[in-house]
Amino acid sequence: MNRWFTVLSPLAFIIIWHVAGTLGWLGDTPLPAEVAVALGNLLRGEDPFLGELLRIHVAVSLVRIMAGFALAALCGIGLGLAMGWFPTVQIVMRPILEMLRPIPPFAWVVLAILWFSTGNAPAIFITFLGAFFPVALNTTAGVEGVSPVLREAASTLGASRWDSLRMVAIPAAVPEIFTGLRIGLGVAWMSLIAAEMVGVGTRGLGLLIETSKMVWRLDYAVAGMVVIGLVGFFLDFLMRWWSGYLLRWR
Amino acid sequence: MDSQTVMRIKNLSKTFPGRKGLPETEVLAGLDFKILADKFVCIVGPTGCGKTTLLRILAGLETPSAGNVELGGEEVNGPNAEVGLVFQEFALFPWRNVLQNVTFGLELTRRNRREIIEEARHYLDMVGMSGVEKHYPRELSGGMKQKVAIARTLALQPRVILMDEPFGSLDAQARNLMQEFLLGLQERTGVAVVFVTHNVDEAVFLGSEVIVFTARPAVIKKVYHVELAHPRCRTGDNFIAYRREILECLGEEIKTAEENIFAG
Repeated sequence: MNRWFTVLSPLAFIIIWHVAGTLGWLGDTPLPAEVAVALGNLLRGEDPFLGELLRIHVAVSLVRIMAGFALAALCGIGLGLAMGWFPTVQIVMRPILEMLRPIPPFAWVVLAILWFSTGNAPAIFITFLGAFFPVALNTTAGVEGVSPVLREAASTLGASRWDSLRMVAIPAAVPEIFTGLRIGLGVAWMSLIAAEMVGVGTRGLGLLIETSKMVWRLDYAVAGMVVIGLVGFFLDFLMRWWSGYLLRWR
Repeated sequence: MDSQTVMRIKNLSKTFPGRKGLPETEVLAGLDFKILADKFVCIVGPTGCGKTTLLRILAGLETPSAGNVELGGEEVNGPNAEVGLVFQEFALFPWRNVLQNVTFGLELTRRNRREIIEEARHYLDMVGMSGVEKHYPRELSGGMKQKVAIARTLALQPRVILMDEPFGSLDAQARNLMQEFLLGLQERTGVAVVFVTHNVDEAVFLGSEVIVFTARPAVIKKVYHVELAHPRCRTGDNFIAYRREILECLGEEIKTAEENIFAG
């Protein structure tokens, strides 16, 4: 029963969109069928504005997010563990992190271009910023939340402080780390698209919808949005699947 | 120190500093006793009398304010694998399956993997848990969890195992079964056990010695040597006589403890 709803509710959404569009309630918003045609054109051939295959746009965006996200995961988990385990690190780093965190990654575009000029690097940097803060702060919370009983149990079994970090704090923090990774991946994806839209780097899904908008081909712009949504959904799905596997003990 | 003595507790005191201007709390006031090899020592006392604090000090998790604890002639000054502790709460690592929980301490000894697993399986077998070695703790009942925790501690071959009300959260039936199981295990392994409980029935059923603590600050009020053969019959006249005597002895202290609560 519930399974049917996962199929039926998006279908109902598309039908409502179609009906509302046909009745003229949505102004110039392209109809689902027009978006589907644009999407079909993109899948079959080049996009009419940048002369690039859709799969190249997708690949470019994916490479950027993977590079930025991997870097953020590495640095964020590393710093988070240090902050959770060593109070001094937390005291020093916390105020800096809390001040930088509210700045939208997108606001860094100027500095990103200044520091990394062209190529994929500025976009990767923006993506990194999107994922870094949630990963670091969730990892910190995860380590801090490790049950004292488990830490004491480990030490009565002969574990040193280092062993406790390695064998208790890190595995116990995995659920929180994954929460951070999932949030981080979502923020990173949105930040990347925004950065691509203002022309950080050539190609990419953000640039595709931005150019479509400039020539007022809204069907292509919405088709681009659909692809962005689908890729984001897929990335999150992978993340959930992986964490479900690692957290099968829960 | 004679060869029979595993652990020697000398004039042990513990005072917790008062927080934010509150007066400090004296919990233990000069405890002196020995734990002999092969013995099953039960400690009973009113709630909040410092039994848990004593076990934490014996395990090296807490430092005494005065006095000391000697293990085989050497002072205990930190947690170590020679003193095992079984917690009141189930302290299994939830992300490790049953077998991996038992291997935890063994992994720290840097021996080879196959040996470690063999050793762990031996102890799981001893507690009758070898059928569930791939299960995660959440899939186990309370009694099974404590069996695994005991196997995990035994696997390191400690000289003494400390148990802090380990069956406190089990239902009466499971608790009785676990007591019988634990006695059998202690007889087979010969490890010294210090078992804290507030249940006199449990103490008389298990202990070769029952130490009664006073209300806080705790000192030893009386030591009973329970000279009843195993298996002990809970309804036997001798058993009930021990129970009555210890309950009366403890009853006075419980009254004092309550008065302390109302006074403070």
